[in-house]
Amino acid sequence: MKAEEIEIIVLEVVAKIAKRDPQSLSLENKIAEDLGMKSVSRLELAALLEDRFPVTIDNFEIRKPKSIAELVDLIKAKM
Amino acid sequence: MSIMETFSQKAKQNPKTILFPEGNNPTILMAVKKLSDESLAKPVLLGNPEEVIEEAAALGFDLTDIPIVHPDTSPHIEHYVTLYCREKDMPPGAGLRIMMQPLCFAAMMVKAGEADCMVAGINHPTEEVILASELIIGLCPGISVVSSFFIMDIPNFTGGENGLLIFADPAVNPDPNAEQLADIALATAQSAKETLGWEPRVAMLSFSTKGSASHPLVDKVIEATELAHQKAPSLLIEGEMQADAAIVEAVAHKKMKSESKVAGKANVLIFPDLNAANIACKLVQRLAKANSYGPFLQGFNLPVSDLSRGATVDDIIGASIILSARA
Repeated sequence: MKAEEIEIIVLEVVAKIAKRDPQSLSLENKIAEDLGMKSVSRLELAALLEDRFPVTIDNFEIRKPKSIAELVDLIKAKM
Repeated sequence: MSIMETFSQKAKQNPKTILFPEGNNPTILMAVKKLSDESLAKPVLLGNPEEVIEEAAALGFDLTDIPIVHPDTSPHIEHYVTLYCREKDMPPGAGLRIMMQPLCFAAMMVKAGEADCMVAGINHPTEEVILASELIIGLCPGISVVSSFFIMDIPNFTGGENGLLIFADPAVNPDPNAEQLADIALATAQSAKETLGWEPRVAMLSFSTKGSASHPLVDKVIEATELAHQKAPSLLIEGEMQADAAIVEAVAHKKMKSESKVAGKANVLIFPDLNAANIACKLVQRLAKANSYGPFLQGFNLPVSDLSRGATVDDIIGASIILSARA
């Protein structure tokens, strides 16, 4: 999977959980500060990413990325 | 009669179905066996039945009459995934991943009415218990945060409610803002009613009593008191006040500027942050030799109890029968 495809899917997933328009998001967005995503939403974020990529993400790993770019890096590292 | 004897008696009169998601933990198994044998509860274990039965056999007992639910093979899993996905607008694949997590599955069993409440946390950090419960069970309407409380049974103290006090929040929110502090007060008042049958008299604690000091930290407590009062106008809640004004009538007379139904006779103490609440609990335990019970989680739509990872059999039984009172 190309890096660009991964970014597009991650943006889609984050947009769904944060209830935002994917077009309004950028990789630089901070997950908690900019998107107001609570800790509890990270469980759903991990489940949705696992559903879209052939990866497993535990409940500790998913708490680490601060920005969407860091989330993309997490997925890339696991692919 | 001690407070635990009272809870035991109450639990025996109407044993509740309590779900234990960490079914293969030996301490849980010993506690569950005792709860069942003494008719204090109707426990249900979550886990792989073969492993759970083997673990119990190693401890020298069988688990006849105690249901064991295996999430992987449960006939309910499909239904739970559907319920979750419908409510959260999630695809089935993601829903299944959520439901395969034992704490989430357990929380869904409680939500679906298969159990009255759940006791977890001996193999999981508190945060995991909170997140799974918040995601599946959700928070009470009007409450924005999960919080916690301790019941303090203080020897030779005749104030509070016959020597008992509730302290909050000693375990969850490090630095609540005014809105969160108001919600902690409201959730704790509700816990006092449900758990102990009290008419709560809630004191919002500070280092100031009715304007005796001026500081942003005092302003936070004043604002929280106002917000809580707006949300629950009939609740007896007052602040800001110092701890002595909250629990000693003579001090309350001196420091409060008007007649008060709370000052001097508070039975619920709300501390301004986690530092204050946690330190107060530890000091009262150590210096006043208080028996303390908790921390109990509150704010969820249905009862959930968190265990310390070092919990003993008696701790688990205590948490279970106290939680039963709220179920």
